[in-house]
Amino acid sequence: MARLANREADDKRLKVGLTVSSVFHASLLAWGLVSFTAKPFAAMPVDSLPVDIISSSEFSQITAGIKTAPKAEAPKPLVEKVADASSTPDMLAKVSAKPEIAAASEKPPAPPEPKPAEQKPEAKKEPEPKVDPIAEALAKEEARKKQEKKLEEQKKREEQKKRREEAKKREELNKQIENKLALLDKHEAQRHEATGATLNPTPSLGSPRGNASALSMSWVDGLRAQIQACWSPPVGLADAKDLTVDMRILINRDGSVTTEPTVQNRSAHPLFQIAAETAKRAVMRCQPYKLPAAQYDMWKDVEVNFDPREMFRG
Amino acid sequence: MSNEGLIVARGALTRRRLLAAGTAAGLGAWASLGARGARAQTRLPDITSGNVQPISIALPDFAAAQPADAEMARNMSQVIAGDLKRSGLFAPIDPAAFIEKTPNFDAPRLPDWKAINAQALTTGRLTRQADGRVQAAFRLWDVFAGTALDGKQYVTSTDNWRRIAHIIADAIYERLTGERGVFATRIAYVTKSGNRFALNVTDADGQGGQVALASTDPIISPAWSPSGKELAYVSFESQKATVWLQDVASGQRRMIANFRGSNSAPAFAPDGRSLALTLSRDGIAQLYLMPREGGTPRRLATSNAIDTEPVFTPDGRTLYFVSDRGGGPQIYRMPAAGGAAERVTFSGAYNISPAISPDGKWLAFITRQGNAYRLMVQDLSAGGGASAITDTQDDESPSFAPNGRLIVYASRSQGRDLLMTTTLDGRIKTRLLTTGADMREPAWGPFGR
Repeated sequence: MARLANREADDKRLKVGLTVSSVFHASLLAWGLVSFTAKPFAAMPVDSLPVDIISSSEFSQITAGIKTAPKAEAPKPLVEKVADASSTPDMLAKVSAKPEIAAASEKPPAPPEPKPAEQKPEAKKEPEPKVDPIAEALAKEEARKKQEKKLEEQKKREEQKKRREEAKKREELNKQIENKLALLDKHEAQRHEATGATLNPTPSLGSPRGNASALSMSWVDGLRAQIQACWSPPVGLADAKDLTVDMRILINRDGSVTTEPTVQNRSAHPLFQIAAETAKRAVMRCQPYKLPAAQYDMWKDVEVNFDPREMFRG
Repeated sequence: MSNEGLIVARGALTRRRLLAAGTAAGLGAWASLGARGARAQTRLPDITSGNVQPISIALPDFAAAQPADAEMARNMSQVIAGDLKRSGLFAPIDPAAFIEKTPNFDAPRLPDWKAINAQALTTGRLTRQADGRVQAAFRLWDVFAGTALDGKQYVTSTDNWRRIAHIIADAIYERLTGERGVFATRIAYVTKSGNRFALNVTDADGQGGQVALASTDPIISPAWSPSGKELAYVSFESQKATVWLQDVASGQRRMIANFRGSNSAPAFAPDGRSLALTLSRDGIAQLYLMPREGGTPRRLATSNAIDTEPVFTPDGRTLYFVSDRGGGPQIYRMPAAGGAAERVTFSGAYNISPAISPDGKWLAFITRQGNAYRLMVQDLSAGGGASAITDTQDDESPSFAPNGRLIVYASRSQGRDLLMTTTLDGRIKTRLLTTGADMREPAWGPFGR
């Protein structure tokens, strides 16, 4: 009987201990669930650049290039204005055009002076003699404007040439790295190429960086650029602070957006709804997004902040 | 033995069950942690620049319930499309490109509109009420989000259809840009045809106008009252410059300033109860304040120079004006109650025609650069310089739209005087529909009528 009683007591103690232990562990887990998700650890996106360690002999072999490799089309830079195919820059013509310009610049001061003088005495006469000097003056103005336009166009073409040469240099470097990659990665390249026939979607006025072909192959920049090209915030947002919109986007494997992106922040600003709608529209319009399939796990669930403050300055 | 079994079997809280419960709780906690997927996988760097483009919007013709109203429905749609296009912020899509030609008012096939890259879509409906009045209703759709953004309906008499179209255009504009639209406001301006002058009041698109005053003598300087019910202007019908006040709706008018010398440049104070004027009754053109009903004017300042073109700030506390006390015409400001004046414009030797934006932040004026008269805009809060926003030769009389986003001004092109509107940065300029006559002296009316 005593032994039974002892066992009873033991069992009871065991029961109590087990109860307390289970409750404590369950509550610990619950607390962990609440507290650890309140402060998520935000991983900083890191530009990943594939690196291969090779010997010096391999390096020289690689830089020699592969003569039998197919010719890769040089990615043309985005341009501000598509030049007419017919008008080719004639460097000789530029030199001879100089004396013409000097003469044309002397003309403008002349026509406005005779104009008001002529108008007064001729005001009483018939309208016909009045037209001629004005038409002449207008024609001179037009000629001068044409000259100026030509000059501008030539300048633009020179700039385009410069950019093309720079892009070519970068393309050489790109080729080398590509060849290195060809040793590693058998997947198809998923880069979004720029062509010269596509007008630059980002207006250079107001953008601190041009959209030239960058060396980085990060899909982060690619996705960001694609969304950026479709984001057209209304001008009314220009004067407003506190209009940043934090958006979360879920993307399918084929680059399309799963559902409407969700806005993760709040603001009491009266224009916040418009800002959020414009950001959502930007994301929805530009799908499907071109992204590397290999890194699907990284880009299937992204978040990004739309901040219009820089856009309308100046 | 049997006692043991009894003890073990009876308690609800047996050891095994407790163990099971604890494990379940733990697993549950882990499972839910996984399912919630706290934050996104990657955060992209902030997007700080975009590509500002007009919003592509599809505006199929309003559907008329009765065939007799089909033409009115079509006209309304055209007015709305014209308004939105002229604002520069919208790009209406060519109807030839529509896939769904007559969308259902309450349920358009949004994928069809997505296919033609329309970001927004308006469906409209026109029905007749029993009392003969017409009911216009519209719905605004966000095509890519697949939702309706706005929808309203208006009931009005048949001949008021143009105003309703402007109001609908305003509603669409506001919902998509967050700005208040000015399509339903009016503009007053003077036309000159031969030796006939007319003071016109039209919708902001230059259409649907009435002639407020026809005369064979010049009319200049129209100025709206803050309520939009009255117009003050200068008329030369008495062979001298006199200031008149006219009720816009009824056309009734009376002369309020006919003092010795010239009476000109009326400008209402924001409370609508008094006007600032330029009178030369005391020998030289000076600024005076006069009650709206007429009566004795009170001189605002004393100077030995020509002071003219007064304009109030929206809070009514400051008066901007043009004076040549410094040698050439420049813009100055002084407290409206009276006090010392300070100079505001410093670029160039000739600055006239000040206009203040409705929020009081911007000053628009005309400057002379060489032989050209150009429109300049100056940020009053920044205290910085002014920038020219036109490159034409003969600009005059700027006037701000009541939403502060546009300026209407008179310009000259190919020998004709016409009216242009421009955004404050000068990027989007449009020309107001012309009647063929020379148009000048524009004044943009306030919100409401």
